[in-house]
Amino acid sequence: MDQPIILVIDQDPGVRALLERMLPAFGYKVQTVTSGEEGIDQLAQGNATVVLLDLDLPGMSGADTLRAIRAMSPAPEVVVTAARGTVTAAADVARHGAFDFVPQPFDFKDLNQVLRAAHDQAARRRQTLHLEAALRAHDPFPEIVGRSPGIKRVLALVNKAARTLSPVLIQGESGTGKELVARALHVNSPRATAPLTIVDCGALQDTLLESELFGHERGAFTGAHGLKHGLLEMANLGTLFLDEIGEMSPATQVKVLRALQSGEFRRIGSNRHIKADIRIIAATNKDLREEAQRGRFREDLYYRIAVIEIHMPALRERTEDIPFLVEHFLRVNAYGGRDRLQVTPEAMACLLRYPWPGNIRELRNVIERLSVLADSQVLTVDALPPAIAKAGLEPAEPREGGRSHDGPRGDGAPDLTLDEVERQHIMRTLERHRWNKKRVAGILGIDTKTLYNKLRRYGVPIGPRGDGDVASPPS
Amino acid sequence: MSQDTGSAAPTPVAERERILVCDDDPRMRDTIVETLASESFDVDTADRAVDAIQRIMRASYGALILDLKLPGLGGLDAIAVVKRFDQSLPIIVMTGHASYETEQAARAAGIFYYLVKPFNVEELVAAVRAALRFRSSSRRKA
Repeated sequence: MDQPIILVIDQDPGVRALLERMLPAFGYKVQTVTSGEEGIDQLAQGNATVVLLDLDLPGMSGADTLRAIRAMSPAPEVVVTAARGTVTAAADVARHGAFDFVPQPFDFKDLNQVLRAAHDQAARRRQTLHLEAALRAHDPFPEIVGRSPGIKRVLALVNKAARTLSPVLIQGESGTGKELVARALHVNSPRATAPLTIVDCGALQDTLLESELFGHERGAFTGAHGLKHGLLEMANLGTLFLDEIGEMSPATQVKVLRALQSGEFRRIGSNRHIKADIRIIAATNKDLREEAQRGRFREDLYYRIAVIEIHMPALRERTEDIPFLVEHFLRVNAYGGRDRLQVTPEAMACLLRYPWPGNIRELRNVIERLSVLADSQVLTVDALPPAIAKAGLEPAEPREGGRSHDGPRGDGAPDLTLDEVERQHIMRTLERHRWNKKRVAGILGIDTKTLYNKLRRYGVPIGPRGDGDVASPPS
Repeated sequence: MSQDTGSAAPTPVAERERILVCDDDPRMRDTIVETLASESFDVDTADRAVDAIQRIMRASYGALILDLKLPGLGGLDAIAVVKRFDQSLPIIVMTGHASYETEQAARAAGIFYYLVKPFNVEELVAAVRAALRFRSSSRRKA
């Protein structure tokens, strides 16, 4: 087995010398630096699996260094140490992602044990990363989470569209995951090894957007001097993702259309034609067909990019995916060897009933914040943002056909499978009876065990109590 | 249809957001600071990437203007670290070495705008304004 590499960050030359002498005796390779800045530099190039970090540092503080190191990927484990009087602070810092805390002066037997365990943990984590990468090879769309009929329809379309080089238009509200779909299309396409180039057409106004797309040549662009290749050239033989294409000005639309039609473009200020073979994926939160019909978007460009259309459902149209998404984001945000948070059934009920106007992006942000701020391992209603907690308090109005009625299209109840009707009925009944599972099982005419099995199948966490007791009402 | 306010509506530029400029060349830093200050932006500066990262960890900025060629931790690596702390911070990169590969790598790292040195002042200011608009719209979405 390779010798574990330990990076020592300590400003005290005596401590560094001591560790340089002692750690090799325990079978470690040692690197030493004197500041957080140097430590980060060293980690960016090296392959240390464990960092021994003294909190008392010049310049960048020990706490900041710890956070910066834990943000790296793959992150080494950090063992925190302090010479004197800072044990409380160190323990507090250790909560924020350090592997362990070792006081000074060192007991080398103890230090060796901790370093060994930290190295094993880092090695396991690297192993997991490899495994996840291998698994990803089998699941073409690991980032797109959910099992609802709506998201399954999207995945089926993505699967078909990915194999072609046809232009794809992805439509859906903000935060529904349009960029993820664009990425999935690209990485599963014949062009997966070429770059995916992304531009947010809504963020840049005409001149800047055109400079970004077409580049410019020396001295050409209103006084610009250097050569800029531009995104079209970057995307040659790859995929160009035009996000928020509905925001593109008519003038830029013409230029883009021309480039797509002819397969070539000119840098600003240049007469030379440059060939560009580009697969186009575009996204918008507008109804682009309607925009085109009303003359607000060029119809010819619309037909050029909307060869395949994918409609992203809003989160309120796929509430059954919320537990899976919550689980996914909790896993992503469990850091520093911490176990992921557990969500109480009452808190989950609130998450399920909140309408999520900002869609998955809003859900992700909420879970991210809760993961960082959580004081305990259990996520209760009290910890939720008020608006979401309040959603769980409102009386559950039975709504025919589920929440899709709130949807922007208002085109009536969607076609549902019997399973889905059953699920919605069970969830509504649970909400109405404050998650008293025993009572709900009685009302539904099934035994409690069957109810639990069904909830498990829906991905609804059942909670720590595990029997059909009365759930405490959300406070 | 959209739940957010969308970028079609004119959005006020949040000019009080601070901008962080990271460049090891003091003359370039001064030029940018003067330019942005004359447009009444508040500006902080850093001469090394780790310094910039530290500042971003402590305070929220409206945009980062980052030179790609820096001593120590380079601009490209810095982008990756910054993204871990502040996913939606718009990063305007500057470079005087505009090779195809550099531009490709910077864009792959997820930048907001690519600025080739020497650039003109209007382009810099326009890019900063666009970045702040983008920042305030992503703050509203969050």
